[in-house]
Amino acid sequence: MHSPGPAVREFSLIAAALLIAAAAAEALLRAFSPLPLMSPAYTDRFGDPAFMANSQIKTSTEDFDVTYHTNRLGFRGRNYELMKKPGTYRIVALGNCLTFGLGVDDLDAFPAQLEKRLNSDSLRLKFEVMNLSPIGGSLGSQEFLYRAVGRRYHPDLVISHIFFGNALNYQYVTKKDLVPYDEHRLRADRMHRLVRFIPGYAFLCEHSHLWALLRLQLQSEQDVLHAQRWADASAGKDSADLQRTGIATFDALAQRVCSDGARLLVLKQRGALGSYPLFDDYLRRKTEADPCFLALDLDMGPQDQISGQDWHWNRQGHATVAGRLLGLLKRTLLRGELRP
Amino acid sequence: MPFNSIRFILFLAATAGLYRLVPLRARRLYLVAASYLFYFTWSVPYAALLMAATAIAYMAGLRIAAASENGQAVVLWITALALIGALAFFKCFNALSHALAGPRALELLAPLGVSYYTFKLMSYVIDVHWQKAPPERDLISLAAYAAFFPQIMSGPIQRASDFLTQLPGELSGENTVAGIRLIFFGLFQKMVVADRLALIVNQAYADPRVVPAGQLLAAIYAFSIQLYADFSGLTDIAIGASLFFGIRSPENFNDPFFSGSTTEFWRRWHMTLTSWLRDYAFTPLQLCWRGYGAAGTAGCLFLMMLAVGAWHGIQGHFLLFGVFNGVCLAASALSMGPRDRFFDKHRWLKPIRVGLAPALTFTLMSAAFVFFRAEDVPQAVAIFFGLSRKAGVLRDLPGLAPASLLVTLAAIATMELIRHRWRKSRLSWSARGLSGKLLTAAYYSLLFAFLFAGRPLTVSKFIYFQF
Repeated sequence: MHSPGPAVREFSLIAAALLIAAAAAEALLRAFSPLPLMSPAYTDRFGDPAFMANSQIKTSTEDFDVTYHTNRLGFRGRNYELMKKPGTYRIVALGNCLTFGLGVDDLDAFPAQLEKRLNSDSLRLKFEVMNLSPIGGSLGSQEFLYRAVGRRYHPDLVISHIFFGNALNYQYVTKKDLVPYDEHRLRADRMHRLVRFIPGYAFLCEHSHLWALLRLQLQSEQDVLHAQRWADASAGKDSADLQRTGIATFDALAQRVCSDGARLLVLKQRGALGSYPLFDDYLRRKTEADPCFLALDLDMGPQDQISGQDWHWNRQGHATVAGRLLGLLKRTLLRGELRP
Repeated sequence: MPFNSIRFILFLAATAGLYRLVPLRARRLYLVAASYLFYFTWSVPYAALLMAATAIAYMAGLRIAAASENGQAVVLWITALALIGALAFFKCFNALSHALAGPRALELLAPLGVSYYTFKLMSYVIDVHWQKAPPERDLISLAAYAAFFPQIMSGPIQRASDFLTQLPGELSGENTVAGIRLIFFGLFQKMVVADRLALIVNQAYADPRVVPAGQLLAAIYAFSIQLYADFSGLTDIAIGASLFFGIRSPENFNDPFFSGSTTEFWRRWHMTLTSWLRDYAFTPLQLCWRGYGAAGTAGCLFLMMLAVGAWHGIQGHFLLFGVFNGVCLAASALSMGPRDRFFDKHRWLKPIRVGLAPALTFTLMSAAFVFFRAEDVPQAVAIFFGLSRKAGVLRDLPGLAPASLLVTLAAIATMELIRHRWRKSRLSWSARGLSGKLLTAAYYSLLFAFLFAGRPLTVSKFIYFQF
């Protein structure tokens, strides 16, 4: 009988050893060093955690205990039909972790609350508010997500939630394609996005301590490399440079939204704008002069700042923001469409 | 493209796979092309320097073979001036620039592997001059020798005659299997043993002025093993990768921490560098100074170790590393006779000598490596002064928690078991038969289990990449 060559024999033994080692490592980790299991998330195009489509993600931290549900696009909330039905007024909410509703239940995030309140006050229209916000979203991600996803749903109104914790930074805003990236990170992120297609990926995430450890190791390597690249990219650049790039990114988003025939509502966390006078001035001039724009400043006290004392998981803050948005729409765009 | 990256593994698999399809007569050229492609991923301009160095050595070899005795010496000195001069320039530039211009100093990135390919090419030219090897008339072969990508970054420093006679390498399943085993063993040494020990070492060296003495002592000893695991891991990956192309590279380590003296240690540590210095610097110098007896030998040893220190860099701490070792080796050479006579007289003390000598050597070498690891002389001094501080309590420190320490010790024991039992035969046992299969499966399972669950979250660069 023909016997396999030494290399073939070796590779089959390596395959067997991989399985044995994985099982042994899993058992040892469970017994001696259990790790917090991870949600079936991957790293999105922007280097931020994104969740798999149609998932239920249980999150437990010291501060909150929340279950997120994702729709078929992997965003938070229910599914929406691509074709908008007649009599439907569609809003797309672009933003960040605050818009996503990090730390609050699905129906407590302000886009979901806004949808509910609009529909209960509606005289004839059906309202849909699609939440297209990733955790850690930025100007770059807003521009990309609108271009890639949002505009296909033909919204009537686009909300751009600008919170300066991460709206403007070198990680997210570059001149190339208005998307923040160095090549290395792009490759790593591509791999992260691919791994979610591994059969049993979600099962591994929810049950395997070894998988959690491997992801931590991978993430840690990326973090070190990324911190270095980020420091290199930021070296020698000043805030004005960053703001000008941010303005270019936002301009691209605004032009696209307005040319699509939708209106753009800028939701500003004014308290965080102090360090970015150029950008602030640009936004003010734009919202005053351009009829496509609407603006709402969230600067009236801690109760309407989602990121107030309680940081992300401020349910009351979400309710207040939804109420203020509703009030603005009643006075402006949707006058006559909603109960006064 | 570091050796512990996926990119390197893919590059190696692709180049080694294609190598098998290349006709025999084109394999030398293929090796050169693959090696330069590898070098281009790091720097294209500096590849020109590698080409120039190869061309100089090639021309020198041919000229020496054709020249008169006096002419040979002239060619040799001119070549040495060009090759060692370039190496010295890159080694000294940054240190001198900082000394002269302070914080505004210009910094120059040293070419990848310049120390290694310079020494390889110099050994070739000297061997031709000494008529130990014929001049290589095929430029492609010499270029493959100088640029061979598994060895370019950190050796081992293979002699030209050893390499060139193997070209084009003998391809066999056994070589490939041994190569795979060595590469995984190298990755285990680096990513598990060295990186785990780095947790203990890095924290102590980050701020030696506040770290308790007990932790400093642990870090001093841990760094010796970290450096060993790091460098021998790197060498094993290089040797394993070379085997994919049918090239057997020389060994760099021979259980150095079981040495009974510092002299023996340096015969078993970074062997290709020390044997290079022995053959091309120490022995000729010793012949010149043979009239001075033991003092001459001690002087030669001191200068050789100073050269070892300077080879790493001309910064003060590297030079002190050389001086410290030079003093140890010179003292060892001078006291060897009286010590032997003493123990001959008191034979009952011999077992104690045999037992204590490796521990003492390990301690001395660990102290020497403080100068190697420190970023500058003041940091090294702070480490030594810190040992007089209160011992302190070793708890809540990364790498020193009991469970973590246990895994580290288990990894070190595994490394030593594999090195001692199978490494000398290059892990080339047969996987035929039940026992062979079981041994192979157990070998990989152990390494993979450590690589899966025993790797720390922080990954560090190979220490010897910087040279």
